[in-house]
Amino acid sequence: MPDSPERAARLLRGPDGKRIYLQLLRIAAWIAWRYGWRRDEKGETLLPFGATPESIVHTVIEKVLEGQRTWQGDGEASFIIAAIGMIRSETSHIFEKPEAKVVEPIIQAERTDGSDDERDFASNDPSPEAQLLEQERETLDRTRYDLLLTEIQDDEELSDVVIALHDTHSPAEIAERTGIDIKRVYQDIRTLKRKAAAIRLPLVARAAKERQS
Amino acid sequence: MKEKQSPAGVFLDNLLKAACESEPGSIEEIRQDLHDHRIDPEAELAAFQQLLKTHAPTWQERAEMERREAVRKLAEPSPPKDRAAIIEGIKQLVAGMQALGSSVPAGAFHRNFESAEQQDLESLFQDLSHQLQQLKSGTKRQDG
Repeated sequence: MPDSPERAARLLRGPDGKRIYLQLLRIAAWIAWRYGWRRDEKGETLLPFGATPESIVHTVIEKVLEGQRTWQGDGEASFIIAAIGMIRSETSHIFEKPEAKVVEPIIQAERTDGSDDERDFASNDPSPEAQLLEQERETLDRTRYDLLLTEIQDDEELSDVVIALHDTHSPAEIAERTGIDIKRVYQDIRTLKRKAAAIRLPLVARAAKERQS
Repeated sequence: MKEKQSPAGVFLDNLLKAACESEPGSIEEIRQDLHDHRIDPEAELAAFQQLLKTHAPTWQERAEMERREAVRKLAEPSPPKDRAAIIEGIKQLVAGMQALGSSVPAGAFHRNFESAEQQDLESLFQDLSHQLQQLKSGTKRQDG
């Protein structure tokens, strides 16, 4: 069996190579979106360390072609599954880096002499600042979810899929639970994803604020 | 993504995973989704082609790259064997680059040629030759 870079090159240079690349790009955009990535109207990105979904996919493909990352199996389906895992891994590395996540407690940030005191040896629990950010993220998730439900409330099929998605992410299981043909389930999932992404962050934030007041 | 999540968070994560596991839909749908995320599919496909050329070139592309590299090396003069002639050649290259308005790297000015190894001098000669060729090519393009 040809080695991993050779198989990948053959697949990506084949008749479906461009479609595969665009598909991976879309998935990377989805994953980054879930982490909170947005691109504003000016086209500027808001990702840590200047990364973009494009750069993430570029890095993954480059590593596969150079043999730094490998995939088993043969064919498009196994390649895409492997690539999705690599994209998640690369995205996670970016967003989970301490420099991207940490809100340094003010009392530490203002100290310039590198000194420690007993407050530096606290527990492993998140700081109050980190907890606040987490709460805000949950509030945004809840608001986006409510706005999405409001939008699809008159669509019975989409509502059924939404209910199923609370318990499972498997399209096959969703089809089984709802009795909806699997092809339609795929379409419904893409529709829901598109609708969720279309609810722009400023609208979500405004709605969240109104509910809090 | 997180151990403890709100039901909304679980739903959104499941929606993402389900979307990744679903059939991709038509190419037009993929393109539209990319536009929705403000990603230019055409620009990215061009970058993709370049990525393949660089990291998985076909034998024709590899042959073309090697041919261009060979032509580039042929066009560059070989350094003279004589040490004094190399130093003189470096000074002429520096003068040539300055005449074309280029700022020459400080090392070429201040290097103590007397203590430099033969290999270093030859390497510097070739680097400066290449840079001068590049400058001349750029000048020709500007003149049209």
